[in-house]
Amino acid sequence: MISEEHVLYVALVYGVTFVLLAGYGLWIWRGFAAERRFKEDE
Amino acid sequence: MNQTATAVRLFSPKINRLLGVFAIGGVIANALLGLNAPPDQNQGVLVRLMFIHVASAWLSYLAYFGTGFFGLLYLWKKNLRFDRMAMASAELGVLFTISTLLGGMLWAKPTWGAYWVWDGRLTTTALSVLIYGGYLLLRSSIDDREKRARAAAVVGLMGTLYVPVNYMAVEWWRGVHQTQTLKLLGSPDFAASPIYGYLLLAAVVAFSLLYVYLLRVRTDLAELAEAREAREWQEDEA
Repeated sequence: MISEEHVLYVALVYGVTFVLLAGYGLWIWRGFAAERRFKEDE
Repeated sequence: MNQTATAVRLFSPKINRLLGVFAIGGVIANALLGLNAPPDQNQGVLVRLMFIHVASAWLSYLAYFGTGFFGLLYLWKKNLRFDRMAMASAELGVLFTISTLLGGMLWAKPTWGAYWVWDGRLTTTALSVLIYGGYLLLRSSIDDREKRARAAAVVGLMGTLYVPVNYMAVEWWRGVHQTQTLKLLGSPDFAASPIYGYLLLAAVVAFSLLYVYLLRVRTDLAELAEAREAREWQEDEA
């Protein structure tokens, strides 16, 4: 029988990993956008 | 940006974008397959964590070796592009070590009954965050570009020597953590259920591709920021 508590832990670990990865990706994307803006302002 | 800096790019931005699509697609596909892996006799559904936890830990090892390797290349070639790659690699190492630690803590609670125990592997992994966090702090504290690259390369190389300690911690200080899932010496045993072995291998390949993709993207961003800072500095001087 599958433990519901264990399913929750599995979902949390996958969720934490993907949220961290998405956060890093977003931070890089914002960095490129900021550099583009700097270039346009020059 | 100089000619030598351009010359060390292994592939074009277009190919890197393609690599990114494959890497992200691979990681998502692997997560979906991992989440549907059959429950294990001992671990139950918790065994599904292996495909993300082990792959994250693998990426952090790869990134720390990358930091030392690119630092060494910088010391040899004196090309700042290698220093930026070392920085990007350390950043990825810290990110994925944090992911490994958080994932490990969430795996530990239902398995060992506590989020944290002072086991050899857990402690050495936490220490690696401090070492590479310190590496990034050191970089931000030195203004002189060449001096920063030189100091970072030396610390990065020393940090790389620590990676095998972290890897071997489960053998040297036997605690609650299981021994290595991916054995560099000897072959892993997935005879009871070969699907786990193939899935894990696919996860490791997908995360390795993700490392190569993110390394390139982060290095390019650092190069853009440095070029802008150099222009601003020149304008201030003029």
